[in-house]
Amino acid sequence: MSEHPIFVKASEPIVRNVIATLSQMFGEENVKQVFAGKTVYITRGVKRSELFLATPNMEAFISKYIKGIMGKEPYSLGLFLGQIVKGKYEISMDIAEKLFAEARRNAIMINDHASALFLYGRDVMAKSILKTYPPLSRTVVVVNKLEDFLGLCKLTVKPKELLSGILRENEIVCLNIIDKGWFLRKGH
Amino acid sequence: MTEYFQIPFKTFKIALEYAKPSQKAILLARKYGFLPYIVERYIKMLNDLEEVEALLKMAGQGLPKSIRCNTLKISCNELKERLESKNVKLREISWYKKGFYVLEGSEKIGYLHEYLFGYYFIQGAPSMIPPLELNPTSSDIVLDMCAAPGGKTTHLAELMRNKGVIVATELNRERMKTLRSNISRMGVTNTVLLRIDARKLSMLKEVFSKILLDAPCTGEGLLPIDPTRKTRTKLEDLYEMASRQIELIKAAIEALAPGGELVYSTCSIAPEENEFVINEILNMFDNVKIGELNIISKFGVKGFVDIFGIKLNSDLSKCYRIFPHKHGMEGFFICKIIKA
Repeated sequence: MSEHPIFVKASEPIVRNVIATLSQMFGEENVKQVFAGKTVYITRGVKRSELFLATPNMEAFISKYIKGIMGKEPYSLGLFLGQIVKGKYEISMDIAEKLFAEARRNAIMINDHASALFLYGRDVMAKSILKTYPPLSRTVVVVNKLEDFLGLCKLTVKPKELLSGILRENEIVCLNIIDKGWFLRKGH
Repeated sequence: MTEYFQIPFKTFKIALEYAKPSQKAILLARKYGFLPYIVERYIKMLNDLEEVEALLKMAGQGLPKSIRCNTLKISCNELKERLESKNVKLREISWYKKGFYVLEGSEKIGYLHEYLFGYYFIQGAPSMIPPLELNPTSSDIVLDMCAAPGGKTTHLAELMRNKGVIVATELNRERMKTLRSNISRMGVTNTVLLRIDARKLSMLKEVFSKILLDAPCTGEGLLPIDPTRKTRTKLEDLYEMASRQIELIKAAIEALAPGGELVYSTCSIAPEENEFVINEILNMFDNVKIGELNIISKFGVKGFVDIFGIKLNSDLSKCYRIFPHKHGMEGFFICKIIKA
C-alpha cells in the first residue's frame, strides 16, 4: 500500500451508505441540507479509506489545478466525514458535531464530572446521564450541560432504559468511541 | 553555500562590513550574552543605545500569552465569560476585539475544555495581524503558504465565514498533521490541504485572489520567549533564510491573480529577512507594488528605506515592524504586495 492517498469521488453505494447512516442518526432533512450540492470524496491506495465532503469550488480547484496542472493529490479537504473500516462507515466527530448542531437529536447530556472523565477517554455510567435527545441510535453524540460537543459513544443498553431508573448507577451504558481529548492525546 | 545564496550574495558581501561589531556592540553583547554582530545591527537599526539595551533586556523576559476567539463556534462574550469563570483573566487586544491577552491562568490555557472544543486558538498577538490585513471575503480563493500549525489558516477561514476556498500548504509531514488537527478542532471546512514545497506553487499561474505567506524565518523576533535566539543565528543563516524567502515570494507572485494581494510576514525583526527581501522582489518584478496596511500601521514602526548604509525602495516605508521592547509583543514584520 502506498502512503499517499488518492482522492476519488466516492461511488454511489458508498455515498448512499454514508447518507443513510447519518440520516438515521440525525434526520434525513438535516443531512440533505449539509450535503446539498457537495461531493463526497474517498481516499484510495492507503489502508484507511477516509471520506470528505467537498464544495463545488473545491472540487473544481482540485480537478483543474491540483490533480490537473500539478499532478498532485490533496492531503485532506473540506469536511472530514469519517472512514470506512472493514466495509463499515465510521462517523467522524466533525460531521457529528455539525449535524447535532442542526438536529439536536441522537445525543445524551452528561454531568460535569462525567464530562471531564469522558474527555479522558472514559465510558459513560448510567448515573451520569442528565438528559437524552431522542430518537437515539446505537452511536450517539455526547454533550455536557452547556451542550458542548464532547464526542461519540456506543450505547450498551436500549435507549428507553437510559433514564428509566432500572439500571444500576455505576453501570456502563455508553462506550467511548472518540472524544475531543483526542486532539491533545493523538490528533490526526 | 546552498542554492539559496544566488540572489542576495552581493548584499551578503556588504553585510560582512555593516555587521562588523564596534567596541560598543562587543561590550553590550558580552553584557547580555548576544552574538556581537546582532547587537551591531540593532545599534544601527535603533540608533539609540538606550533602546538597544531595552531590546536586549527583553531576551527571555516572556510575554503574556494571547488567544483568538473562534466565532465559527462561539461568541467572544460567551468565551470570555466561560474562561473568566475558570479563573482565566483576559484583556482585549486594543486593535482586535476577537483577540485577548491572558493575564492570569495562562498555564492552563492549552488544555481547558474550551480549547479542545475549538473555541479559541493560542497564538501570538502579532500573528493575528496578517489575516486581518489580507482581509479575505467569502468568495476569495486564498492560498496560505507554509500554513502549519494553522493559526492563520483558521483565522482566514473565520474571516471568510467558512466559505470560499483556502488552499493551505505545508511541506513537513508532522506539521501537516498538526495543521489538519487544528483545522478539525476549530470547525473549519473550507480548506484544501496540500503537502508540497510551496515554491512549486509557481506552477499555478495567476490563480489566487489573495495569498498569505508567513515565511519561515530565523525567528529573531521571538527573543522575549526564546533566549536561545541571542546566539542561534549566524549572519550567513540570515542570508540563507532571505534567499529562501525570496524564492517563496517569487512563487507567490506567479500564483497571484492580476489585482491580487499578497501579505508577507515574518516573526523576525531582521531587515535582511524583510526589507531586503521585498526590495529584491521590487527589483525583480515590474508588475508589483507595495500596498497600504490598515491595522499594523496604527501602532507599528515603518519599514526601513535606508539601513546599514544601503538605500532601499522608498515604498518600503509602507511595510511595518513590531519591536518587542516598544510594543510588548513578539517582534514581527508585515508587508503587502499588490500585483498589477
